[in-house]
Parts: sequence; structure tokens; C-alpha cells
Amino acid sequence: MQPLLFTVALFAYLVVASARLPGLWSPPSWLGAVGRVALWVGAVAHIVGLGLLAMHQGGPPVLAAGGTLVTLAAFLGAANVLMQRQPYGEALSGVLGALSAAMLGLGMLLPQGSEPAPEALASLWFPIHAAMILLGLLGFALAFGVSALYLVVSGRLKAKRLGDLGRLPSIDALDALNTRFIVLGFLALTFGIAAEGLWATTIPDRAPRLGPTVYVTVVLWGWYAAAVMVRVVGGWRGRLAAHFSLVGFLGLLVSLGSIVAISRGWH
Amino acid sequence: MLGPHEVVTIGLSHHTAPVSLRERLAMPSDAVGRHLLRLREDKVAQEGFILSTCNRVEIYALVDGADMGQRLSRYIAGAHGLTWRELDPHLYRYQGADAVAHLFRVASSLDSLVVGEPQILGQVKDAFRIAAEQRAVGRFLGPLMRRTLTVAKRVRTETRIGRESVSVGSAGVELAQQVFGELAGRRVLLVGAGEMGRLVAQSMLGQGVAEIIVANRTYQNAVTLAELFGGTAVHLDQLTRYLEQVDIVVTSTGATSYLLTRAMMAPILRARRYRPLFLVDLSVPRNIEPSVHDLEGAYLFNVDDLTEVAQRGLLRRREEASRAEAIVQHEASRCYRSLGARSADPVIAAMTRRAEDARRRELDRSEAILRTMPAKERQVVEAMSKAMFKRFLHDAIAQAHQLGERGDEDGLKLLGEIFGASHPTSEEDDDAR
Repeated sequence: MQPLLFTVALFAYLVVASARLPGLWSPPSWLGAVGRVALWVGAVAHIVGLGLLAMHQGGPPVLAAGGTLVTLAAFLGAANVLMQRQPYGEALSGVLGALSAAMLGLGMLLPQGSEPAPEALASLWFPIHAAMILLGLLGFALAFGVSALYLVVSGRLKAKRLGDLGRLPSIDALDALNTRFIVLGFLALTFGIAAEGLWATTIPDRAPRLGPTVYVTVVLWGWYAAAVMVRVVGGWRGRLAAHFSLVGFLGLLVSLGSIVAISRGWH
Repeated sequence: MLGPHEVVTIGLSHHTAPVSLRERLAMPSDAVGRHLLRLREDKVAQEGFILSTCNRVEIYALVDGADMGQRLSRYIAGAHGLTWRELDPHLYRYQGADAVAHLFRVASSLDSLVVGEPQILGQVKDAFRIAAEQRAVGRFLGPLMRRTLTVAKRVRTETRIGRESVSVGSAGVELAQQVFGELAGRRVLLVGAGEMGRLVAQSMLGQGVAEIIVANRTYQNAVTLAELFGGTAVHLDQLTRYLEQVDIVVTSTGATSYLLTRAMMAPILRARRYRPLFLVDLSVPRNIEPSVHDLEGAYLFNVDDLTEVAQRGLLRRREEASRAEAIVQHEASRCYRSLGARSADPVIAAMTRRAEDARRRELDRSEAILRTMPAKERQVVEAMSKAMFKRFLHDAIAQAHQLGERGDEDGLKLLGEIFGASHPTSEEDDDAR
């Protein structure tokens, strides 16, 4: 059942992206309504499908790369629905819809994890670690979407394409939102890493393993730590800050994608 | 027709009359009240209200159907010391649904000099208030006034007619909002004392900016302007310091060379950590080097950009006006039909009164028997008799409404006669009011 629901969600997200991304330039009202309906259909189908997958596996499907991407895409879809009431919600939903579709599509192609979970995962620290890492990734994904939109709006002002003024969010609002999502993502990632460390101490006879995921996580943490320093402490704003979010998340996707392609797993 | 009456509009506006004539007809509010009183005393109109603004003078009136406002037209000429020949070529007249549609168009700002401007609705409201205070509106124009305000609100909310910027000042605000969102709490630096700069600063002040700092080569002029805006005056040589602090810069000076160059702005923007700086250069020749716009964090617009936004806004308003026109026409025919239904009110009232009399008489005749019944049963009989008459009259009342909506005066008269309730003539209707 869940493959069908995921397929419905994937198509719905693609509809959202198709309906709302052109909306960044000149949105006809009927296209906005199509996007709104498709977003609800996609998010509901996705969450129900994820619930069925979790029931099938006896827990959240975050042990394998595919399951993690499907879960993250579901969170992003839900966040997209929640943000519809915000002034920037409609403009942002096209970018987030495209991102959800990409992550869900990739997640569907990769193994979603059906083998029994290792005993070590029964620790209480594991769900905390997984939830925090997912929250961190969600924050970075949202920051990516907001930054992309920031560059579009800022680019239009710079190019003096003033046709659809007032229909897009202000660059100041997008900049502030980007900071919030980066800080949220960074704090969650930090807690997630700390929880993993504590979890490792509870596993007897487990030698520390420094694999590619650990290296990527460290680089990622460092990158976003720098982004937080630049924005919050240094007060730097504008396109530089937006590029930080864009490059960070794209780098994350490419690195983790490569790891999964090579090792077929997270660790 | 609304029974024996008709609603008419007679007036002139910037479309039909020069200002020299409009100013002769313009009426201050106390004169409006006097004219409304005289119109009714002289039986020129049964109900009425007058809209007098700098762009139009219009009388909306409920007049005798046979006269159709002829006396009203002559009254206007006579009251202002004009001859009929002088006035008539400039007057327009609407009647029935067209008069209603015209009122809706005017209140929705579709007939204004600048389509979509918001002031007209306030002026229409004032006209309504004066008429209501003078008790010059009643069964027909009272509901028409209420409906007008609803339609004008509908046009504002369902179209973008009032939202597009059509002046340089509002275009400046709109561009600044694309950078900052709300302007409340922002700081504005106004360089120079040019008229355009003042207009833009004034518009921004209306959006709740926290402070306006005025810099001018002649310090005394800066002080005068700062006092006008409740802001702060600074010397022109302090410009660099304030450029690091403010969010918006508006230049409007007579300087013949750049006051703000790229070389000067680059370190300032860096010191601001690329916090957005919105710059509006309204001067010709320009005061800010155009390449400043290429710097990170700077958004520079000149007078041509603002004009372009204003012209596009005007074009959009015109596009929206056709959507608004459709709303107005639909609402006007609906409203006129419902006003027509009101012309059946006297017949319906007479029918109901007659039925109630008959019911009372029959109950009185059975009083001796009813008195022996317990109170509860008497109440049941009372309620039953009311329900029977109500049911009996239901179709006739619905028919009367339809006849009224169609303006079928003869039909209403016949219906009244069938029920022994005569349809009032216009004279009787006036007296009833």
C-alpha cells in the first residue's frame, strides 16, 4: 500500500512545484488553488504511507538511507502545509514542493530498511539521536528553500524586474527566516551528535568507528557552525548568508548520496 | 419603476464640466442639508441625498415617475443662479437601475479622476450621513445607501483596484516594502529638500517609519523640513555616519555631481554587514552613482523606476476596473430588483392589516365560546388562526413582491383591489412617509 501512497505524494509534490514555481513570476489565481489542493493531498498521502511503513518495520524507518529520506521529505511536506498561512507560504511552497519531490523520489529508489533492527538500537538515546538529526536536516532543508527564494527576489530587485511587486515576500523577512532555520538546524544537529556520543557509551565493547558519515557530519557541523557565527555573531546578511545555506544543504545531499551509493547504508 | 416613483441621478463631474462650473455648483455640508430640506418641502423629490466633492456634484433622488427629474434639473439651475441653457449641456441623467449602477461606480471609485483612489468612499459616506441626519432618505434610498457601502467594500476586497501604486510616493513605499516588508520602525535619511523627496518621505511617514533624518546643504532648510516631519536635521558632511545607521535613503537635491559614489558606498555597506540599504534617487541629474546598485546589500532606484511602477499600477487598476465593473453591474440590477420589491410594501401592509382585522373580528365573534376554554386551548386557537391567515396570504405576498420587482404598477393595483387594499398613489405614499 505504501508504495502507492508514496507515488501519489510524489506526483502531488511535483504538481505543487509546477503550479507554484511559475507562480514566482506571475501567479494566476487558479494555479495557486491547484497547488494548495495538491500540497494537502501529497502531505496526507505521504504521512499515511510513512505511518504504514513504520508499522511494517516496527519503528520509524530511519535505519536505511531510503527510509530516512522518505521521512525527511514527509516532515518537509508537513512543514510546507503549516507554513501556508504565513505571508511567504505560497511563494515558498513551490521550492519546498520541488525539494520534497526530489527527496521522496530518491528515498523511494533506495532501500527503506526492512531487516530486523540491531539490538543496540533499543537504547533510549537512539530515538533522541534520530529525531534530533532529522530535525536538524529539516531546518537545513527549510533554510535551503528560503535561501533559494531570497536569491530569486533579490535577483529580481537587482535586475529591476518590478512587475510582480508585493506578491513575493520581502527579502528582509526571508533573510530573518533563513537565520531562524539555520539556528534551529544547527542546535538540533549538535544535540543529535551529542546524543549519538552518549548512545555509543551505552554499547559495551563497541570500538569507535570513523567512517565517511562521521567525517561528513563533522564537516557539516563545522560549516553550519560557521554559518551561525557569520549570521548571528557577525551580523552578516544578504546573499552571502543565503549562499551559505544553499551550498551547505547541496553539499550535504551530495555527500550523503555518495556515501549511500558506495556503502549502501549510513554507518 | 419603483411603484409610482423612480430613482434618478442628475449631476455633473470632471468628465462633463470644467472646474469653473463645478465650483459654482459645489455645496458645503450645511448647504447640502438646506437643499435636501427644500427639495422635499417643494415636493421636487420624495427622498434624496447630495454628493458634492471637488470633482462632482450629484443629486440622487426618488422622484415622481411621471416627472422623471425634470423639476429636479430645473431646481439645480435655479438654486445656483444658472440658466437652463448654461447648465444642461454639462448635466448627465440616469434613472432606474442605471442610476443605481452609477452610484455604485462612483462609490467604488470607478468614476474617479484617479481610478481606485480611496477618498471618494469617505465622501459618499459623508453624503449619506448628512441625508440620514436630515431624514431625507427612507424606504428606498435608505437601503440603497447601505447596499452602496457593501458593494464598494466588495469591489475593494475582490479586486486589486485600490492596491496598486499610482503615484511616485506610493511607488517608493511599495519598492521599500519589497525589501523590508513593514516599514514601521525603519529609519529614513532624506538628502535635499526637493519636492519629490518630500512626497516620498511623506508617504513613508504614513507607513510608520520610526524617524526621518534630513540632511541639506543649507542647514536651516534641513531644520525647517525636519520640523515638518518631526525628524532630525543634520549637516550634509555628516552623511557618511548616518548612512551606516539608516535603512532608507531618499535623495532629492539640485547637485550636479554624484553625492554618493560607489567608492564611498562600498565600505559603508561592508560596515553594515550587508544589511539591506534601500536608496531612492529622485534627482535629475542623479545624486547617486548608478553602479551603487551592483553592490551587495544596496538596492538603488531612480525616478524612472518609480514612474514605471506607478504607471504599471495605473494600468493594472484599469484592468481591475473591468472586473469591478462586472461586480457593479451585477449588484446594481440585483439591488434595483430588491428596491422594486419594496414598492409592493404598502399593498402588502394593507393586505396584512385587512387579514388581521378579519381574523380579529372572527375571534371576537366566537368570544363567548373561547372564554369557556382553558387558557392553553385558547392560545392554540389564536396561533392556529394566525397561521391560517399567514398561509393564505403567503402566495399573494410573494406575487406582490414579484410584481414590485418587475415594476408592474397595474398588477400591484389589481392585487390590492382583489384584497380590498388600494395601492397608494405617489401623493399618498409621500404622506405615509
